[in-house]
Amino acid sequence: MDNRTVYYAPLPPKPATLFILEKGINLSIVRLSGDMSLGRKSSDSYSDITLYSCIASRNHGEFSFIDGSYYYKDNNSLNGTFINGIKLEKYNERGSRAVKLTDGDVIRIDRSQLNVPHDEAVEMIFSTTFSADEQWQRYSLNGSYNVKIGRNIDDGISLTDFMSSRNHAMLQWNAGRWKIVDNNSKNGVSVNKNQVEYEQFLNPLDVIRIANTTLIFTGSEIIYNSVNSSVKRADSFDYSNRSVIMNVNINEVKAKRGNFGKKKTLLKDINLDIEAGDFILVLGGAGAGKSTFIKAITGQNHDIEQTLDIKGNIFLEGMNLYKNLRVLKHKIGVVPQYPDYRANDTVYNTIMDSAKLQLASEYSRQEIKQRVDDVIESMMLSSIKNSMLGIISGGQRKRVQVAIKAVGDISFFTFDEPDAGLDVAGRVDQMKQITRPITLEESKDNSLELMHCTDSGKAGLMISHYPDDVANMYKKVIVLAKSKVDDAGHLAYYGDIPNALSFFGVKKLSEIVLEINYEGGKGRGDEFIQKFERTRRG
Amino acid sequence: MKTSMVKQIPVYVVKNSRLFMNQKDWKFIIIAGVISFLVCSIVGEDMFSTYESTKSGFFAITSAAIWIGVFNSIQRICKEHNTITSEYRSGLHISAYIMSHVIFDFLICLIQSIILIGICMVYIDFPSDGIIFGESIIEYFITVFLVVWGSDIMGIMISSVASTPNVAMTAMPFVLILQLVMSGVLFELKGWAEKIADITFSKWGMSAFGSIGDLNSEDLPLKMSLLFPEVVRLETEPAYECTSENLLKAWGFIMIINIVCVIISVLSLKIRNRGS
Repeated sequence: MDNRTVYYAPLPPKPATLFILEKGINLSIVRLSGDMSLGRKSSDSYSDITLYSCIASRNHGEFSFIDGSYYYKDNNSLNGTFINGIKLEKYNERGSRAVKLTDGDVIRIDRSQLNVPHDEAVEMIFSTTFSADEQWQRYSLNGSYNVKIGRNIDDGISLTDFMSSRNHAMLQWNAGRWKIVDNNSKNGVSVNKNQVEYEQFLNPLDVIRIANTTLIFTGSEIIYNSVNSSVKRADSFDYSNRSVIMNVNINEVKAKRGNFGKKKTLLKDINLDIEAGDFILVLGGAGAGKSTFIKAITGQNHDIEQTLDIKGNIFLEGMNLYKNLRVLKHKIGVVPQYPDYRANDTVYNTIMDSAKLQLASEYSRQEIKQRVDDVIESMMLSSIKNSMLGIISGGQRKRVQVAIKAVGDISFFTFDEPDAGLDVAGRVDQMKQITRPITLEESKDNSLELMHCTDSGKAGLMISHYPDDVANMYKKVIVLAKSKVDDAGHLAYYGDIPNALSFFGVKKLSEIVLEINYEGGKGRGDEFIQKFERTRRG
Repeated sequence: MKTSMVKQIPVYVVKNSRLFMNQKDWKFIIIAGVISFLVCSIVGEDMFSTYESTKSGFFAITSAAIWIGVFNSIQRICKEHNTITSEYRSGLHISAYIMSHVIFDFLICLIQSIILIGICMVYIDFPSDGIIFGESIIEYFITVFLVVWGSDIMGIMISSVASTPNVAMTAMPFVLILQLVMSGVLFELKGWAEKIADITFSKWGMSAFGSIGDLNSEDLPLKMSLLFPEVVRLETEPAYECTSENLLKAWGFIMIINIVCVIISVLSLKIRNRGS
């Protein structure tokens, strides 16, 4: 009888979508659901995803779902596969190495000259943000010289995505080629996953990304999807249909103090995906690298005390965090342990100014006021909205700090010990109120399931030294443990709460820290680091 | 990529004005009045009677203007570094933030300059002929305002570079002493000191005052000349040349130093927040 305890159950395949454009004309949408093969239609072979292009091989490549992520591998096809413009090299007789896919990755089957695509070239866009109600549209560029792209415009390419600006970008015919010009938009423009600095010439089959809208430039037309996102809180959220917000692949994080300090490795091998709806507790003993981890994934790689040298990649909404920090930093809300504030300004004015800072270029005064009123109400600040920040309580001040972030387009929050210094009743109350932009309210029948859900697209990370107070609020837990082998923090667990208790053999979350801590604990950090690595590899 | 810099400036100008009232920063205007009263009541009687008393009077007014300006702003930026970092992450343009302070302080300095020059007019009988404008008082007012506003912007610069209000307040006496020493009134400046003096408001403020008041004029005798009429000044000082070019040059240099201070303020805050 097999009586092994399964600590880490593999996640079921998450839905992802491939937008496949063949011959620059035919667009098809394929839902990925686990491992799937890719190949040309043929009478003597079968592929899960069938292509009609003559330059695709019959057994061209395959998609695999491993440990919560999709990977693509080229099966040594004749013409090969490009991912984001880089051709996959042959690794062995079975094909190339498998490449992890993130939202917006462009997979292309083409000859070597990517700027002059083959007539039969195939372009596939990997998406984890596709929703069933999306509509694809075409906009012909023939006879035009200037085409506006913006939110709800009458002349040009009209986007429905709330995150796009009214006057977002412009397509211009210049010197016999089309180029895209970013009109100083709020969320920027990327082409083939690279941020556009003011303007960029386009090649056929280039993929433009504006907020959550994907636009494929075919040379003569733009094929784009209409994304229905709204500034309003979603009434419901389907957790099973969640998308990956952040993809963390950190090999190593080294810190250097000052200009002449010695580098010290603080974190190693942190690989995880954070999905919409995730509200994640970060646990770890002293020196395990909790704060460093938060800094690394929120783009804070430099401050007055130290500089972080981060090896690896962090993607937020499919874009490389550090390569696109200028845009992505606006999507991350960092709520510090001790928020700084202007003591002599009122709650309302502080939130209103933050809204103007983040939204003024795109929204009318009335829209901004409505947004501010909504946030003040949802954060339960109405009764103190005319009070000075200096006279309200510390807990209320933290809620204001969350509100000034929530009033913008933040999609990812981090909270650093918001419950510090409070008694148990205060901590529970504080946690419930401070996380309102992340968690939905409890339903009338106290269904905790709803509390795990966020409105569309938001996620949060929380460092807390009192994890059991509101353990049912957390969807997952990240446990970081310091290894005695290399004196760096490693991932000792990432997964849901019940499995975490089973994995560490404890009854309460707070006991996990006692198990892994070398100082004042049982010193089993390395044991759990290795155990998690083994279970993760299956 | 975010709300434009130009649109952010009024948001912060309004915020500054709100904080100015809520923090009771209007006390700086009262302090400016008290300082002006003290300075003018002491130097007033002897101004424009002899060369030394006039020069000392200008020096006292310049020093008061610098002190008023620096004190307005020296603690303002450094006390909210963490708030700036948080707002920078939310889309704040550092240049908009600094410009909002520069613009709002323009108004405060204007009020303080009116008070300073108004009190001066009570105690000092200014000669009426100006170099550029018909009335010299207009030129005195412009000079006072430029020195107050320039010193205020220098305070913003120091506050941007300093990490805490303590650091800024520690730096303040050194900056003030440097300004006073480099005015060229207390000591004769030569070599490198003369070059450093070119970046101080005191030198150009004194130059402008000396120019408007025509310190090189034979109508302003040395004190000794009152007792011994045969004692006369042999050398005039080019810095106090009573010409419109000299006055405009002094005002121009103050404006250039202002711009440099603004650039340093923006750069230092950008460097501080580069990892944010």
